[in-house]
Amino acid sequence: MNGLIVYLYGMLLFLLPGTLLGLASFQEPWGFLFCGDYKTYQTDHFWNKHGKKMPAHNDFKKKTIEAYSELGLTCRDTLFAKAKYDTIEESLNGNTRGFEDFILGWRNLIQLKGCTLYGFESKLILPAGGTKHSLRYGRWGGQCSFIAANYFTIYERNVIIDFLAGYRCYYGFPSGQIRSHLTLAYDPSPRTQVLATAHLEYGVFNGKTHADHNMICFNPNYRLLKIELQAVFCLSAFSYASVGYYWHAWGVNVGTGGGFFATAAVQF
Amino acid sequence: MLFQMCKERHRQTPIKLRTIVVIVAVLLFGNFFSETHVLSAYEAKAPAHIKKPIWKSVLPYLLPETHPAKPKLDAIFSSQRALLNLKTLEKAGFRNPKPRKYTHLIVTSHPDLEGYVIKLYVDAQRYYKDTPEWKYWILRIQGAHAIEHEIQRRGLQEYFKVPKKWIYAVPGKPQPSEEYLTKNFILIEEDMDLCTSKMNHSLWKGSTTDKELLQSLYSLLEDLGLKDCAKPDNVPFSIDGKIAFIDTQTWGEWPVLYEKLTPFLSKEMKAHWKKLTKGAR
Repeated sequence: MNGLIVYLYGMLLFLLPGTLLGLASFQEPWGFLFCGDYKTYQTDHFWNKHGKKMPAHNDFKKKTIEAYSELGLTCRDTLFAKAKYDTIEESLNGNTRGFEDFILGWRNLIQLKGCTLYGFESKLILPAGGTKHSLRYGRWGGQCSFIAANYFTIYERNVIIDFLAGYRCYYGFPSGQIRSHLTLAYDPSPRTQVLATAHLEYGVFNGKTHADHNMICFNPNYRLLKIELQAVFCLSAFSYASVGYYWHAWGVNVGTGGGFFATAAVQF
Repeated sequence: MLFQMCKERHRQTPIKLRTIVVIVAVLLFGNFFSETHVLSAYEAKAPAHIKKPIWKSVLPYLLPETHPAKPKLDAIFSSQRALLNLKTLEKAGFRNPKPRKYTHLIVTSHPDLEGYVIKLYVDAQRYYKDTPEWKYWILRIQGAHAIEHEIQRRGLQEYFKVPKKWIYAVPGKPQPSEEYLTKNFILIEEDMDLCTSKMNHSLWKGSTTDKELLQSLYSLLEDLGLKDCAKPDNVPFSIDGKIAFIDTQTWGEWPVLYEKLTPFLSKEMKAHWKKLTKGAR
């Protein structure tokens, strides 16, 4: 029994960055993970189509509640699903509430060699309703990604590098996007982990034009580099919590600013 | 007596036919209710920054060049891009510009335009329900024309009034940056000299609101489909004792939300209002 707990704890440590960020996490057969996430975002500026920072003249505040879950089918295949509910307050345009488009996905472990893994991920984007400003495109879409992760130690401390690169496309509009992220995770103690992640959402501007003048969230043609810092705390062998901060470092047709987030997760 | 006559006339024609006649008349000849319709060369020619089809649509509703407010508006909007955001509006002298809760519409006034109320959206705002602002202004003006026509037809001027409204085309220069959604038109309305909210509510509850008043209000609302006008805030009492129809955007839409008025009436009038509106569409 103790051996099983140690094994699970070890697995959890390995899976922490993936599970929290929805990256290269692979569940045991019939293993189940559930994450609840609360995120804030605030800005009053945006980058225009030339990447120049401009005032929005509109205070934009967004709060997001996210539910994310994973289910292991085999030791190589994991299904996942994501749902987000946003509450947006804009000083000029009033309040908007609703679900973002839903995501269903499948992650496949191609190869696990030593402490390096390679995988493949595909996502289906399901519209949660019609197009809604700053909230969702309301379009069908899909994403295919390549995943690579490497686990090693420095001065007897665990380090994980996690990488994803993929392409997201939508039916009709908006523009297709190259999506990538790189995570560096480090364990300062056995029960804590710190992560730094760079997310890239690079619109290739091939979508049909759409009369959406929203320059902060979900512009049909946007590019964004987002940096995240996160601290994870293991609460038990089956649960953990994290807090973090993120900011938009660079962009085109997207809001500046950033916000905080907090996550709690349980794994069975 | 007057209301009896109205009731009689009310019975003579089926509601549907009468409503259709009023709406068609307003759509076809609505512009003749405005003060002047002699188009100047300026009015007839679309400015460079406005597309021709849009200009053609707003043309019948434009503030006449001879109107006393026109040069004052030109002076306000030519010297700066006052419509860019709330701060630029305030800087240009507009009083307390704040977006309203549901429509995000900004209702304001200006010391140089006493006697008028200005309704507008700023460039930093997106379109409300993805519809350009000028379409709402046309709807509001057509609604005002329909109500005015019906008040005149029924001889209810003693009890009701509606402001005259015009569209003002903002000068092409200065323009905002391309990132913002340029608003080319604002709405100018006569100030109805309204009672304060507290006074208005007490008048609706008080003896001023009698059965005859409710009967004529009901027939106006029902015949014209003034869906949102059964609310004291949209049909407030003014200082001269008349009820002013100030929200004329929603018309020709049924069912009318009569129940919104009920809580603001006295006990006796509540019962009468419920009885009156029972057979409504």
